[in-house]
Amino acid sequence: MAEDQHAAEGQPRIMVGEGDVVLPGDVLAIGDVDFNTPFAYKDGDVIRAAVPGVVEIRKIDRNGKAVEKVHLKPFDLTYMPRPGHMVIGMVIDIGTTYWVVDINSPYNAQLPVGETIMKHTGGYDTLRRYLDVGEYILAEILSFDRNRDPIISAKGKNYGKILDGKVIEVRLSRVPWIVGKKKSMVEAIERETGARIVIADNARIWIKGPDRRSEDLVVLAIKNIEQTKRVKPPSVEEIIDYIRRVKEEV
Amino acid sequence: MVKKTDIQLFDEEKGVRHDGRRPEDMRPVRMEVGVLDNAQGSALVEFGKTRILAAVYGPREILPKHMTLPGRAILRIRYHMAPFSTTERKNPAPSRREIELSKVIREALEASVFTRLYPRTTIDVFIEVLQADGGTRTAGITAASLALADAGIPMRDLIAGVAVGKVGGRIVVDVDEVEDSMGEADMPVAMMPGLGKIVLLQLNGSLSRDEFKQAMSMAIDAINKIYEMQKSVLKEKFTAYSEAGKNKQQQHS
Repeated sequence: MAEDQHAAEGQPRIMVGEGDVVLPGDVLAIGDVDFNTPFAYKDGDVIRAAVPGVVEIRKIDRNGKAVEKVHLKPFDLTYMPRPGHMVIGMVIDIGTTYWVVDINSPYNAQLPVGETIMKHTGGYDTLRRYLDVGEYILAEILSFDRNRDPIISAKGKNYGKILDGKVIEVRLSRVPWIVGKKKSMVEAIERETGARIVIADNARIWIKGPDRRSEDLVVLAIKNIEQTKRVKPPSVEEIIDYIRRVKEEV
Repeated sequence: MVKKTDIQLFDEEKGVRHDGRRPEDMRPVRMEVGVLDNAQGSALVEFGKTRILAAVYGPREILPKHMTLPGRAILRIRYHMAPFSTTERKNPAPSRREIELSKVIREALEASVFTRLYPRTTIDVFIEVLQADGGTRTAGITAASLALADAGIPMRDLIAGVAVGKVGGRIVVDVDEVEDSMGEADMPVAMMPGLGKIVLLQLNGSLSRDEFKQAMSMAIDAINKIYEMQKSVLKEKFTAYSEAGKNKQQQHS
């Protein structure tokens, strides 16, 4: 009996089920179980949730052995920059050789002149002529770590100043719904409205359509997907129907 | 208005306090989360006539810049009593007492929040006392912790608090303004109940060793009740978001 108990204690155990809503402090698992930081944490032998979220049990491979991992999907997220991410930023300040760009995260990014298509610098006024405060830019994150603000680059293909269209901000945790499975949702909206949609990693979306009406349609469709009263991602058909209904009404 | 000296704090015959509660009874508690649209997270907490609003902003850039810490986020707490929260107008300028309470609440919350995840940023918490009737610091911590969870800021556990005291020679839970000003002792306690850790403990007045033990165990019982309420109000909000949770509720009902 005592031996059985010991065996049960030593065995890693998952204490929650798929789809459970958990809150900070709730026990997710006991023992040697994989989990995703920083949304869960280990307190001695116990794994607890750190944010409100939904539990997902994933099968992963660990040293050739199939094991279960507790994956906590948080309800709300703060965007943290990572090198390679495509972001939409708004210029908030201009230095002598760089722009300060708001990228919807706790850290403001820096865009050095060398990382744009500008050839040489002539100081503040020249920088301002190329990119002024309040203007949007599509860029890539070059580097970011705990000690330094992110550096972004607008040099690559498709990157640079956003001249037309609309930029909107959505909730980061809803971005996967807006993209859809294998981009099905965003492509369907593009087909239906004729607009081009660029979804950046920092939960900002650039919409560029043939006219204002199509851009507004996309905004309405995205806001419809994002609304909080939804409990699951809407189907592509549902959103297409919605767009057609709005088209007729206007 | 009833004069304070007319009040009998504890009725030995009936075994009830001046407002009809038994020693171990709390005032009616009400909680709500997500009450403010502009804040990242917010909560409204009521303990009887005490009513407190908490709002969380961040993590965000620190201004002024010199307050920045390289290894972690700073927590900035502003505990403030509205001028209309008391019977006589309170000067809105931060008083000595409010500055001290902001500090003890900050230290309590720092035990829970994972500040090292967001270096060089700040998490700002505003605790506004709308109506004061005793136990505002513990209700303030309860509200602040709910608002932080609502904002999705990673933390070890929710924090719940309650004030216990000694009134008419009896140990009572959740002291109100009258009991606080006329009683023999007042002891606010805040805990992370899931982890069994105390994050705030103050004592005004004096208690014997046995009284302290009794007061502590009564506080822990009350805190566990408040903790369950915090969880259910958060769950209610977030279950509405999750399909799986919805199915589960249907199964239960």
